[in-house]
Amino acid sequence: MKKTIQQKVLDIIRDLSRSEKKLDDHTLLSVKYLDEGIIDSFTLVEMIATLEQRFGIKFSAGELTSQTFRTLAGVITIVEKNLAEQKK
Amino acid sequence: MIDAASANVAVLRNVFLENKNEVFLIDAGSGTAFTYRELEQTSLRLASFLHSLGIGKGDRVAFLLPNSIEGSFLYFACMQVGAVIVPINQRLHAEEILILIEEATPKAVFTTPFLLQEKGNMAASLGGARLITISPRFTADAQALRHGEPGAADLWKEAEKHTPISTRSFDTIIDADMLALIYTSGTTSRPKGVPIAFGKIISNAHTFIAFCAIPPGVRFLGTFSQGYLGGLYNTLLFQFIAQGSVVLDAGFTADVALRFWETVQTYEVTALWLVPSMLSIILSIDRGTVGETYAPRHLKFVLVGTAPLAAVVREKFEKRYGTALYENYALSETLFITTNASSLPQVRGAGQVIPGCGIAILDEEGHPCSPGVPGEIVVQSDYMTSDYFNNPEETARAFRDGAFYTGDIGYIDSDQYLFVTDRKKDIIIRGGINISPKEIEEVIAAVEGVREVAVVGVPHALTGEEVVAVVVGEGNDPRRIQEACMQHLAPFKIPASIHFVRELPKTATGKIKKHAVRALVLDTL
Repeated sequence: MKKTIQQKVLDIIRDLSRSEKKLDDHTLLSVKYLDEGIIDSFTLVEMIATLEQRFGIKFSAGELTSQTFRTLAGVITIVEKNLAEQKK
Repeated sequence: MIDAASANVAVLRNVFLENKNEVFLIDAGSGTAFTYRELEQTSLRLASFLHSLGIGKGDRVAFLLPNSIEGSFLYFACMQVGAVIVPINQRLHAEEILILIEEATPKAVFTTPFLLQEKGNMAASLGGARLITISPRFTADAQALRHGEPGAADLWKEAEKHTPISTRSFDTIIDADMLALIYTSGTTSRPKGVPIAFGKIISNAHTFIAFCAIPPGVRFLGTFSQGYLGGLYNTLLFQFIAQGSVVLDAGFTADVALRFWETVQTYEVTALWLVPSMLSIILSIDRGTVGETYAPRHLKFVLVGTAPLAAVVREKFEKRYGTALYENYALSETLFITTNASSLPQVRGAGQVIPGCGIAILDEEGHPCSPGVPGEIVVQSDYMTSDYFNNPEETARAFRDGAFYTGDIGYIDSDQYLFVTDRKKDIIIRGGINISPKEIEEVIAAVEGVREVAVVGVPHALTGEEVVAVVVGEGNDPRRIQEACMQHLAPFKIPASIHFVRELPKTATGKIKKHAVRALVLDTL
């Protein structure tokens, strides 16, 4: 079965995170991962690079510093928006 | 007669006196600013609070706290009463924290309710140490703010309740008194305690500031964790002696990295203290133009330390942000030894020795190397410690004939600039933080089926070095090894990759050849 963008993003985060905290999909999507120590600054760089590479997109400065980027649900929205714009 | 002790106390007193109304600390979270006068008055009251807890001169006090204004004030309160600051990194695993507590035997431990809960409620395992939980109000650490609990002590209320201690109590402090006890990972599995003497750290800061010609009023961004020496010295005490100010952020977290230049611009920061991996991260995730516009105009000093800076990172950063990087060389045991500065003819390597320090480069037989020839960096300085806390074996190994054998390899060129090129000692430096491979090896060796293990650091573009484990054993299941590491070690120590081999390269006497293991991993990669 083809994975959704959401599942792909969650897989990437779980793969990269060294946190002991095992969170379910719902919590992981809604939690402010930057505030909760889910990832450190090294992982953030890896996360951005992996998402950009896997989806063939490039986040803008505004997207990275936006409130939307602070939850994984928001990150997924930004990824989807970038992908939609590519199709135009 | 004025002895050296009172001279250093006088230095601190004068800083308070001459900067009363100047801002010293700014909380990057709320923007709240605190003057030198507020620091002095509050820390004297908190000193009285410490007295009420039975904490006095020479008592060790452990701090397991996020970066916060309250924690900073408590550090100064400890100085006022002559108590010894023992910073503990909040990212450590509970087991690692308890080892530090066991080694340092503090009289009290300050922490937050959240950290206490996160670390599995260590209260019962603190030995005789008194536990005090506080809820910082002024911190850029979102977790600490959100998880504040009303049951914990509010330091501001405690300060209000207590009458300031007499400033005369400060006069009893002498140069030899221990200001802090810093735990550092080394070649052994147990961390080593480095006693930092009051007189040595104050005079080291003074000398460094004068050598670099850092004028009063410079504003630094504090992104080092206060759970390390860097957070206590480089981005708190140093700025105090320099009569500058600090914008206190929550360490170099993912969040801090994302809004780095925005914070620098908002708080009109004029100096940075960074480690090489921070430079790489900033370069990688900064997609805006704030840094490029702000840095060349307003940044006066960008100091870099704790790990060797790759030339390519230096060039990229300097080119993009139009600001010179001044690399220095320092260790917990020695404090600052060398630095680059605008007063030097050139900016090269880790710079030149500051007054009061001497370096020798010695070969395997202990003979001095010629200029340009690498050998072990051996330091003799007015600021270095002379031993490890309650650790005669490690002391005898590293401190010989009044010199400190750093375990770092480097050379001095014909113009007296130091270049740090390699490490003799078996440690990994990831993101500027020392990690003991032995500590990780012990955890992995205990996993069922593992016969032998070697943990090494391999070069990594972002972190400087990444932790890699090479294992000989049955089963070959990396998940079990990862899980064991997660159960016992801090997240930053967990191997990024685990390789299985049939045997490890060894010397004729059966000792694992770490350089060969490292080469093996690099070949595989």
